[in-house]
Amino acid sequence: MLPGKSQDMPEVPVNGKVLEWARAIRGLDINKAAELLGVPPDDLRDYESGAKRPLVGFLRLMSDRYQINFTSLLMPEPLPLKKHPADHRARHGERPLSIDTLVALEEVTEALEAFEDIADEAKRIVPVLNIGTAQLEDDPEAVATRERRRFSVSIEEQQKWRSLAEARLKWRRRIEDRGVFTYMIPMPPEELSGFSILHDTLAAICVNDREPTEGAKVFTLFHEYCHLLLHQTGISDENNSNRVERFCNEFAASFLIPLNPLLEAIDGTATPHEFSDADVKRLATRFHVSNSAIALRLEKTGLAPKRFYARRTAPWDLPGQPRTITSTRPDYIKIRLKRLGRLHPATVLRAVDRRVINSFDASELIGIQPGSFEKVQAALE
Amino acid sequence: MKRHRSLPLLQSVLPVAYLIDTSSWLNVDSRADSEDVWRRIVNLIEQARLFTCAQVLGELRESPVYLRLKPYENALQAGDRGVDDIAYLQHVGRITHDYPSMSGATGWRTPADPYIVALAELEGYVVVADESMKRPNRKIPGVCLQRKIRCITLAQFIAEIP
Repeated sequence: MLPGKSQDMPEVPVNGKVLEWARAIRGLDINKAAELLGVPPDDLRDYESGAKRPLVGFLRLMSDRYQINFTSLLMPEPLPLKKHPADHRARHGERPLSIDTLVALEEVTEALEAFEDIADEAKRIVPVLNIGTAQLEDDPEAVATRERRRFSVSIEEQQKWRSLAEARLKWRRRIEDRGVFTYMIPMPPEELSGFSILHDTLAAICVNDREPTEGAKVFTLFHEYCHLLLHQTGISDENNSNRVERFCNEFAASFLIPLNPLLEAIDGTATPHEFSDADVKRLATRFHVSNSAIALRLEKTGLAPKRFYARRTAPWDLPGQPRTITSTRPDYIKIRLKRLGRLHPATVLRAVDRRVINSFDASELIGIQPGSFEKVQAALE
Repeated sequence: MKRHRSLPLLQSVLPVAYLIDTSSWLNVDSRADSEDVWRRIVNLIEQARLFTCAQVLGELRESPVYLRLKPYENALQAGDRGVDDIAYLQHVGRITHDYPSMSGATGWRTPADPYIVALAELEGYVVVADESMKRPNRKIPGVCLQRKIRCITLAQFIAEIP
């Protein structure tokens, strides 16, 4: 029996163009979509051409596998295709966005729309965005120095953090303190490092949670933060050939590794110097950043020779050892908070307390049942 | 047994029937007079004048209010149209197309909202929804207003039921 087929289920006279639209907005080609649905590509072509009518069960399966609203498949006509955020990627050419990335973009966009609704209903629930601005003509070093002052994190405090994981948590919280929603969602690592979205007065950063190291995620947080400062948001891969990406890379490296503390750390070494791998790793540990961030910074400041970054980074930032698998079940609330950050659930719970949204809408927004809201609140405190 | 009110003539002679959305069900228990309201709600359910759709019950399944509704699940859905009702599904599709923001048309979730609007329109129900009117294309009350479907709040509903 075909997937989604039951003898009692009726055929639905859908518009095949709508099925094609649903596949297109999830970035699926006909073969990939057919594979997801467990049908031959020719069958899917028949549904999309209108030669064959799907059963209700097949449409439900399609809704599930395409991760798209079931009722959208019943529309009489497709909706206009939405414009994607600007694509700043260059590392992998014009690589199309995968379903995981497109759904992540949808998730973050929907969250910001929900926060816009909440902000319309009541004041002081949704935080006010409090970040600076920048232009591509500016000096990224100067912009980073100015923004670093705004964050009030001293270099001593940064160096006291015990690990890259702690650095990531602390920096993420500081960014959220500026009213920026932050997300960490797994997406194909060869596709993008992250993306940023600016909706009027609401801003979000999403870091690819499948980036290889915590250091890379910290770098992406600030790379995307810079996209917000520039008001040039979109999808990033942190390449150095795109002007916006290059600016954001230089900003992130300057922000995380300020010049004077870096000069102190190299302790009078004659420059430009061909730093060894061990030197770079020592500096990266000191600043709680990735090796590649240090390498980029050394080159850009003239402390290392030209092309040092390009020559030396490739083998460095490898993922750490996978964690030992224990028999205890992962804490679902922790998993959700890692994905959504703190600002998103805190804002949603505040809106529930103020009765601006109901518990069902809140549970949809944070992906946790209302019965566990107290536990979420406790985890946020 | 399903109660069919689709014919305009029938709608004009039958007593008013209500279709309650998730947002209003969740507000019943927070009222000081909730026990009295529940008694009147049950009375209306028994008179086949109060319904909800399967998608709303699905949204409420993890909520304490579901325990209240569970004994009346069949009666509440007697005014629903089934998932095999093609005309109904097509109407839900039209509502989704016309109000993509309310329906989350490009999202991965399937909200109950377009089902509520479509069912109320086909059956002539009065919608009860405690949602904002501020963004008329994003919420049930604004869409109902545009489609000339009567939509009231829970408080208005309570004020008009026996």
